[in-house]
Amino acid sequence: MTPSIDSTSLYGTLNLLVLGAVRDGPLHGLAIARAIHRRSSDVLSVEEGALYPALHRLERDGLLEAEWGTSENNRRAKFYSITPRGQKHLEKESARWLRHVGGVRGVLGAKG
Amino acid sequence: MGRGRDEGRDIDPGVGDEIRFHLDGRIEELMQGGMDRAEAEAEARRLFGDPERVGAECTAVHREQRRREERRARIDGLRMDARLVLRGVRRNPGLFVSIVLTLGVALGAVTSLFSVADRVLLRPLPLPAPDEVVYLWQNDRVTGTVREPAGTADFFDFRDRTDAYQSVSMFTLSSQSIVLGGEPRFAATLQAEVGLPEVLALPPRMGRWFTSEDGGHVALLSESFWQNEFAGEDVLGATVTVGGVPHEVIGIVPAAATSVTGPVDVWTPTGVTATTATRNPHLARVVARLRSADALEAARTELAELAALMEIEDAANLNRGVFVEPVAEFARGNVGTTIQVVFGATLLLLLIAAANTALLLTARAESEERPTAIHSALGATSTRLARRGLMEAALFVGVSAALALGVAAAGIRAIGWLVPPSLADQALSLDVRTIGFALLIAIPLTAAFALVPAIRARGRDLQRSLGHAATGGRSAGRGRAILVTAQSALATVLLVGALLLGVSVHNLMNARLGFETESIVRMSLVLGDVDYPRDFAVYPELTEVLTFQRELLDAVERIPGVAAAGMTTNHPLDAGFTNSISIEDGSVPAGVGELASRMVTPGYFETVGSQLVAGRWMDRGRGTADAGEVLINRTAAEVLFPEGEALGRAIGFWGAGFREIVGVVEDEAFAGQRVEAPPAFYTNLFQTPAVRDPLVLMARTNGDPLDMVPRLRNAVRAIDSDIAIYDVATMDETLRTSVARERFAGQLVTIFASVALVLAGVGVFGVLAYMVARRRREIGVRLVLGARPDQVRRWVVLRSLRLVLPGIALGLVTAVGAARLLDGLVFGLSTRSPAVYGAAAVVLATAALLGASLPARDAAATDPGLSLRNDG
Repeated sequence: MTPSIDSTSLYGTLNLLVLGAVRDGPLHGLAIARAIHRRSSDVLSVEEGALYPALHRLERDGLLEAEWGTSENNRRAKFYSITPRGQKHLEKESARWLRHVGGVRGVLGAKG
Repeated sequence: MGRGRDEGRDIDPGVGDEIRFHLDGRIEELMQGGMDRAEAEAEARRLFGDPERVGAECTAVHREQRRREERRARIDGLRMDARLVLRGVRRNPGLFVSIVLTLGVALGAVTSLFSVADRVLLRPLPLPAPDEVVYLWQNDRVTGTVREPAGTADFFDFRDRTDAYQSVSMFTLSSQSIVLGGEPRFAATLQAEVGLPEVLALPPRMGRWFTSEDGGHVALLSESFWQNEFAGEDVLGATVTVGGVPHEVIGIVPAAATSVTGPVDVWTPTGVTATTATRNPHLARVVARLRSADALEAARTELAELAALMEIEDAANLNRGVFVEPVAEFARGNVGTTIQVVFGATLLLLLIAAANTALLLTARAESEERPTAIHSALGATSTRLARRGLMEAALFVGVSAALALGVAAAGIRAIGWLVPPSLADQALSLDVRTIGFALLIAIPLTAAFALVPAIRARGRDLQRSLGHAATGGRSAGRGRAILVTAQSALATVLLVGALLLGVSVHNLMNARLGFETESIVRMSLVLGDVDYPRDFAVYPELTEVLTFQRELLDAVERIPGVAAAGMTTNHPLDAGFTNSISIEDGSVPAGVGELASRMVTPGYFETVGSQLVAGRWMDRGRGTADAGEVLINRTAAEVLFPEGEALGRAIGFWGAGFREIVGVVEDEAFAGQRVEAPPAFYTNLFQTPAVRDPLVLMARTNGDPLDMVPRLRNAVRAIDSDIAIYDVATMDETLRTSVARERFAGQLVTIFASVALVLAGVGVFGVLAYMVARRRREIGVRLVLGARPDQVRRWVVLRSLRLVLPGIALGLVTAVGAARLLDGLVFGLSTRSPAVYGAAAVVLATAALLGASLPARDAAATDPGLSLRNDG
């Protein structure tokens, strides 16, 4: 099993991943988890117990909005989509994260 | 995740569904991967983490979100209400401004006066256990005086022969010239017995009190004198010369002491001992601290018994009783009435203002009926409407209260300027208690105004539910009429009060005084015992005093512009001292006590414009070597010689032989206009020179008396530059000050009455304008049917009288009762004077007619065609 990112560490990172996952359209919780796993080329998988509280907090804070709808297999599910505020937050935080990673890579890269 | 596990964890159903969907999805996925259902379920749960815990966490977040949304909705609701209220204000700015002004001014006035009432009536004295501190006055059963200082010997008797007090002490008051690092100036001085600080139970502000080891040459400065003159610098150890004698400053007296001693500048030790104490003169103010506040009655009994004993023991104590009075009561006593009157008047004013506001609000509520109905139809609940009403009332009252505090701050400063010192000797300020009082009134006002629309709405609903069409218009009109009637009643009461006080002040100022006040100036001079010794052993040959008197009068009479000049021990509005007398070859009739004794130069009578009733004036040429002459006033002549001639008889006093009565003068009202002039005798200062300070110089001038003051000062200084001059005033000003209490009350009540009158007039205007508007059609019909415009006008005007006449009647009746409050202040007329009440009624009726004039004109100008065409 690939190492998982849980809610206690890198909490902000989880939010970022979630926002990134719904960037292109509304998804329900299960789909978000799968999307993160897939798009990270299976590197990252989310502990599902952390995901739902994160989704609800993002909704509470206005970065996501939610709507009940029908899933692909015709069942009632709650779909989350990004809000303009969430979009702004995503852009700002991902830029910061990438800068951070770049810096780390620079240090590690220098060692060869 | 079984249902059973949901119970006891209180998980939001939506959250539960969401998690179940996720788990089911995972389970399917795992089963597709080859697990069976049970394995898949277990694995799914394992992958998920504890669903119950997650569910609870999500529910918590969800709930918090819902709370936030509710809060936002509430705030939005409040904001919308606020916007509607503000819009209502913007639509009707005149209404808002008039309400705020009316309420603000009235509330401000009440608040200012509360600060006075609070400071004077409600607060306890700034002493420890203030109810224990009492004055021990002597009284004179014959002259009827109730509060007299005691003789110094009496003090020792009071102290040593009673049990009821923790501590007894005394002080005397004087005016002396002092020098403290500069030129001589006048100061009010106090001579304290060493136990005085113990009675006050106050620590010195700085330094220390006297002790019995100190000897006589120490002094304390009062706190106010110290602050004013030295701005709080350290003056301990400095030397102050009092009456020519150097004293060392050892401490500062705290300001709280003035609540017992009155305002003074310098304390020195009294120097009186049990052996040097005398029964006369009565200069000692005895003050004591009871063992407990409820021991007052027992103390009174004990002291009465002692006084009776003292009367038997010493003839000097004949007819003297004692009167124990708590200092707190004395401080409140003569002021209480005035304060109550004025405070009552302001409360009336506030009532009128509130009534006016209610009138205006109901008027507005009517015009708001349609918008309110629309709001209701659109779903505004009655709570929302009530909340809006409350917000609006809070806005009105809040802004009014802010204005009121401003008015109060200015009013307090104005009052401090208007109020005679006898009413409030401490600085008034807008303090916490006063602001608290203002809020205390503002809150019920808010509630009352908020209820106005609510009551109306309820009344309307009730009528509707009973099946009647809402007759809001007519009943509201009646309600307003009642309010205007109430306003008229209150305004009438205030008017009666203002008229009574105004006439009283006029009477007081013009009462027959027995002397003139125009163009006369007086000043008090402090000679000092060092340069002008007053040794009783050689009396009346006080050479220095006699020479000074002669030289000064000669100099002053030579000043151009001075028509006449004289000197006296007491100016004509100063009650002064009394003395017992005896009659040569006769006896003083029973019931006659002491006479007021006044020493004057012969020129005094011309200066103050006295009138001679019989005999002649004093002889300008007489001196100490000549036979003694004396004048008595009319009352003394009637009282001492009821059956015969006073001229030629002789009276004796001061144990110094008899003097011939050479003339009788008209009474001077030196005890004030309110009492009968006391019997008095006048001796010639050139035969009986002044024995104590101050000596009063008086001058009648041809022009403005104040212009003469510098020249008079120079004349004094030219003879002796060490003499302190103080209390310089014209007699006109002195007269005005003597009626200061009545003037103050009168001015305030007049202001209030004027405001009340205006408000009543405005109220009448409002009601009639509304009535005319409502009955426009009816007026049109009348005009069409042949009524003349002036008949219409008269009809409107008569309606106004119908509105206010019951109010006036009610007000007059109330005023009869309320005027009893003014009993102590009114002078020269009865509190039930029909002329006053009639005048008040006429004035109010006139105000009503004025208020009706515009609506009357408007009604008369109705175009019948237009009014009939428009539908109501």
